[in-house]
Amino acid sequence: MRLLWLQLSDFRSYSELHFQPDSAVNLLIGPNGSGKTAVLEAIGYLGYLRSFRGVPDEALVSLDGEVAILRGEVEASAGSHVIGISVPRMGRRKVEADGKRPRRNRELRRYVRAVTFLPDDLNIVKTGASVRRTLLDDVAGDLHPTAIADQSEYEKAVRQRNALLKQEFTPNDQELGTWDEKVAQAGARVHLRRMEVIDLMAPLLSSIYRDLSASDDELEWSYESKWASGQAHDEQTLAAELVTALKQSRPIDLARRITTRGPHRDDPSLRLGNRDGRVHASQGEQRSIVLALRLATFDLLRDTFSEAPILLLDDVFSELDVSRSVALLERLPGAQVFITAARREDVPVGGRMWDVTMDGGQSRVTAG
Amino acid sequence: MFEPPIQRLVDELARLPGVGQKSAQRLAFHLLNIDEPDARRLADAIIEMRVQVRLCQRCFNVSASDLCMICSDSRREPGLVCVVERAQDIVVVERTQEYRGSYHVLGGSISPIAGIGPEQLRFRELMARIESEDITEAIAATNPTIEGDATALYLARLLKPLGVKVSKLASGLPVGGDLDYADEITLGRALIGRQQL
Repeated sequence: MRLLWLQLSDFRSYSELHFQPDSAVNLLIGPNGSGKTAVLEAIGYLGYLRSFRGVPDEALVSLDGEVAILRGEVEASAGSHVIGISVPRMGRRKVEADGKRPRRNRELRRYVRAVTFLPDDLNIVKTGASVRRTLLDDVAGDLHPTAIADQSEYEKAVRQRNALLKQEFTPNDQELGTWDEKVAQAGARVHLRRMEVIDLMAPLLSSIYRDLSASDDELEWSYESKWASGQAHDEQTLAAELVTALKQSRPIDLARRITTRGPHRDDPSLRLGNRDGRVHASQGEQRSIVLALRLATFDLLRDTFSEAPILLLDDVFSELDVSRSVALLERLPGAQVFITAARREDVPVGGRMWDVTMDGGQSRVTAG
Repeated sequence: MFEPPIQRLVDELARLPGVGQKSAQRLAFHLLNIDEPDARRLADAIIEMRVQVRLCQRCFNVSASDLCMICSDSRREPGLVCVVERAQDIVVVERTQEYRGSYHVLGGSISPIAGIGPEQLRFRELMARIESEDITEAIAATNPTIEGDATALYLARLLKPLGVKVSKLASGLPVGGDLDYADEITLGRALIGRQQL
């Protein structure tokens, strides 16, 4: 996949940007706060319709603008598509693909697939489970756009069940049972997709980690769930397991007024040679774990679609030592890559240079 | 701001669903140009409808008398009820000409977020009908949304223990359409509900 061009207006610190990147490696070099990451953020937004920085849409509109506009053309083996998005400070976002509103926004995932490396990626190993759940769900959505629909159906069903638990009066058994069923149906599908991602990723993950760390330790996902026995592999049995768990947790759920069982509470963790990566891995090992995870995602998407996703590397080399940088660079060929860094010498790879500068509150990208 | 009589109509029209300020203004100025008898006819039609139409005492369809046209039709199959969210949905099912039973309008779908539970819908009235009319089969024709599905599930939970056969409408492909126009979710449901040949 290749981004052919990108146009921004009133997006972050760009009042206007026309950017025609190279089809291979692009180095965006500039001081901190000059607007480098915003370019990567915009590329990611074209496919995922959200910022990888996890900020709300309003934050994307420039300070003196009313509507941020992102347009870009992405070329893939199946053809090229022009995506246009307008994000107003207030009101509804508009999305177009090839001049028409897509029937479903999730169709954009087919047109733009990107794997992003961020400086705070270490949180994937270090912090709570939600980051890892999101990661699995995102990859599932890359593999199957319908998974995105299942995820949102599941979220809605849990929200409805929670609303019921928060009511002033104790809800009636049948009504709660109805939402148990609804949560379980969608939850089983979300669970199955996560298991699929874990299975597909497993061989890649351990071999990449061994390459990176030159150790024999196995890196693997371990999926902890308080409701799934691990024995069930079909939708119906899984849904039945979740219904049972919800029934059992009902007294607790009623007391705490929240749904305490289900995929939204599961903990996918990363284990290194049978140790929990969060607790036992050293800082260096944690960096390798995260890198292996991102690279395994990259390989998985490339192999599944026979096409390399776009790679977005936000200021990652300053965090990596030489051997890990080399391992990462060895995998770059074949992909269009966007790398940001404060200084050229931080990046141990050649490519098309772009200077990112900030002048009078406006960011600019010029060929370096 | 228009002259007060015009502004009043614009404001009233703008309260209708699907009508914004701009459309309301266009409608108001159109009405300004029609003859007075025509204007009166429209106003009377609105008032008459409001005064004459009430809810059917049996199925809660809109009706000009105590029982709606469907409920007063003796050729309708007894013992079979089709449960819908809104009265408008009855017209849609009727157009198929495939259904010969009675209806029951719930008045919405279950949505705890919106504060709508079974108590706010006409489930109690339905339960009374099951008993008094000796209903043996119910079809849930609720919307294929999370809330509509939950409403159908709830219906099944209520009626199945009473020995009533409960089904819901199948999800599938639009007839006469192209396969590649179907979205993946619908196609996925159609695959799950595929029929043996």
